[in-house]
Amino acid sequence: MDRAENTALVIAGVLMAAFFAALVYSAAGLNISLPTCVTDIAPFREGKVIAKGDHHYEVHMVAKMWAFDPAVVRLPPGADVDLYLSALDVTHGVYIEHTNVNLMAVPGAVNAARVRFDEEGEYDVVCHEYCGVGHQNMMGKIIVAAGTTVPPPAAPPAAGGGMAAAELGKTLFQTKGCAACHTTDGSPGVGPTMKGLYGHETQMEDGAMVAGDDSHLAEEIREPGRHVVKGFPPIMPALPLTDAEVNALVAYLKTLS
Amino acid sequence: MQPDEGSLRLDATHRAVVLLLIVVPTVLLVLGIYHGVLQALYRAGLIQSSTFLGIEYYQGLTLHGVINALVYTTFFEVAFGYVVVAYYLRCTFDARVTWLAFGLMSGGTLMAAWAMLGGSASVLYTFYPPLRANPLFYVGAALLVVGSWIPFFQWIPAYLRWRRAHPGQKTPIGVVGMLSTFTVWLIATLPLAYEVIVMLIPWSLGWTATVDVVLARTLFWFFGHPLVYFWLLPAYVMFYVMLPELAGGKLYSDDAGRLVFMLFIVLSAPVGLHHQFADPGISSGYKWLHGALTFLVALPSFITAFTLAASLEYAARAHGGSGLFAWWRRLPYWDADRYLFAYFFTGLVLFVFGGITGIINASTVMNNVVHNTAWIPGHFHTTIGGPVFLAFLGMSLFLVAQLTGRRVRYPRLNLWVPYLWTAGVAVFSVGLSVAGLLGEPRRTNLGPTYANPNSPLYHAGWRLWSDLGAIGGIVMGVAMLLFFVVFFGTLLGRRQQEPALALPTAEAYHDGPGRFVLNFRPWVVAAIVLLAIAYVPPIYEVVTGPTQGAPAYEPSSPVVAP
Repeated sequence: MDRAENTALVIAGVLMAAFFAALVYSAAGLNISLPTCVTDIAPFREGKVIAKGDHHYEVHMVAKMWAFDPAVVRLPPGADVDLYLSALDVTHGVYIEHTNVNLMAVPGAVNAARVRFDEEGEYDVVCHEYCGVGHQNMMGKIIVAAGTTVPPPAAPPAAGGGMAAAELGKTLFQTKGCAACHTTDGSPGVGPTMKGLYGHETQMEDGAMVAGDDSHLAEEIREPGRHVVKGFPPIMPALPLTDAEVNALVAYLKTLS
Repeated sequence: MQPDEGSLRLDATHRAVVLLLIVVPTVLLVLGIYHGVLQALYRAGLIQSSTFLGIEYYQGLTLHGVINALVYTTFFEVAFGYVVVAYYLRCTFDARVTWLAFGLMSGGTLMAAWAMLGGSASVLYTFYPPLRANPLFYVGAALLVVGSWIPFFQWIPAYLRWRRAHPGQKTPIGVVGMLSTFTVWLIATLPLAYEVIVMLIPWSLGWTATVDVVLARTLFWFFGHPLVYFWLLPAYVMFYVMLPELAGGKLYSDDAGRLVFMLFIVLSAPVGLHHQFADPGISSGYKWLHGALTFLVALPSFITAFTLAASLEYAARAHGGSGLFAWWRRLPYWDADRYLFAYFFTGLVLFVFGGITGIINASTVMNNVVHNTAWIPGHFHTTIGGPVFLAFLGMSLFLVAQLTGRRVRYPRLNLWVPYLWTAGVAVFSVGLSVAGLLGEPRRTNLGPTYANPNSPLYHAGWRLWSDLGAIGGIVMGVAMLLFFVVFFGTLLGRRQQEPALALPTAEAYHDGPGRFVLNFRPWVVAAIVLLAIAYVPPIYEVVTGPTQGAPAYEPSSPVVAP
């Protein structure tokens, strides 16, 4: 190798060394870290937000086909968050907009990141790893607003006050992952469309006709395996929903009739 | 470095096998390219459903990745390896063994293609357990890989015989490059074989209940990064051996080329954790080590950039070029007889950007910004979709024309292919890279939600950049349409001369003694030592760590598969 070549090689080496020094500085000086092996917390199956005091919160987030739990995290500005991430079924990803949080959620292992939310606003939480046919529906939100308390004040949406039942149902339909399989515009999906379901009879796999009324739809949501709509696979999971949430979903389906 | 004599006539078996190894995956490539263009349309919201013409998005994405990145590349490289070794070493191989290799590779490909087209293997080319595919998909992939090992073990004895018969001579650099390529491939595919044969096949058949996902991911990326050098090195062989000759000059430094190939043997594998910077279950110290080693593996590409630019400058000045930069105008960009120059040169232009974005990806904490965003496909369409793909396309056409004794059909149209493709990739990659920096995810059917104004998930900020992606994707599709017309037109044309191989081969401008780069052994030993340092601790951590196994899921259902 001649002199020009050796010179070029040395310059390239110095360049890469300078880049690496910059990375070391960003990690040690600016405190930007890589996810590491977490052993002090076992994989969990339920999401929650815990106030640890003094603007310090712990968020346990579960990624599952095809929603995050909790689907919406509400925090006050200035929140310092220890985020722990678990995957319930397959591999997912978590990218929180406008932050450096970019994690893989891998079944069987817990991932973690530390993040501070100073600005008020809505931060989309996007699943960025292929996790099945509903992957493109898997998005959560972190809403940072002044005056937010953790845990939120217990105020179930009463009739006439707060969010109307159908409105709440529409939100649940999106955040609980229903929309991943069921369309609301009549087009086919993984499961039957929700358009026109309410108020019409639907034929089941065993030939029975089931009425699209409040009680039958609520039963279908609670126990999806009991009756399966003809022509669709028996794959719908039973979700842990409260009675109020089931009623809100049915109220939403009613608006699609 | 010159072959012993002029052109070479391959024996009937190897002529047939090489042609099949090129034509079969090129036919499949029609499907792979079609699904590439479709994805760009889905992601720009021009298709807002989950399915188009009977094929679901993720099924199409699986076809695109498996056909383009695994099948097309592996088939071509085996073909090119036979050609290079036979041409420069003037040797023949046992026809039965060659047919066995071809049979395993094509049989495996058929199995996997059947599973993917039937919709029972929509798990992408990265496999992604605990998403489960039809067992035939994994068996097919294993057969393809095992089949591709066989030729390597035909070439090694041929190389050793040549060395004994030519004491004191440097092995032709093309042969050194192809042996390096398949050394990297063998190192890379051993962990993959373990993942597929020991973990995934029994699990997909229901013989084992769960699979360790963290371990599976670690083994996959142990394979997944040297895989990219398996793609790149045959292109480097063409750049070092042929490009200077096509440009009308000489290779600037023969020893630099040999050093590059040896460095890739050592450094291409102990870097895989840089695909797992965002993963749980692996200590960040190991990730930093792999990040640093990835910076080292940039060095052979820096050497290549210098050597090739110097070679081109030498060629241009030899043909009247002058000035500090004006010599660039004296290169044969638009010579239909030397179309390989255009295919190689355009690929190198894209690779400037591919190299820079690659260094960004390897940069540990900076990866937080780009990991799993559209930035990543924006990057690798300027590497495997740049120099690798263009070199393979050009060389496929060149070999088919020579081995069938035909002239290239539509030679002017053929010249447009690399330039149009490069323009398409440039637009496409800018779109995807910026979208990625804005957080747009990769491997996602944006059409029904993020790119659909009627969806509550609509992201207006990504739209413009996804539209650029679609424009670039369509231009790339048109370039490939032209290529297929030229390629199949040539194949189906009339024979005009006796089939014979004559590879353009450059002389070296600086040809040193090559003291440390004549022998593979020390480099292979160094590779094994470095691999042990880089991979034994993290794999030990994963295997003994607190991670739990996961049962199987079908991509279509959130409940455990029966």
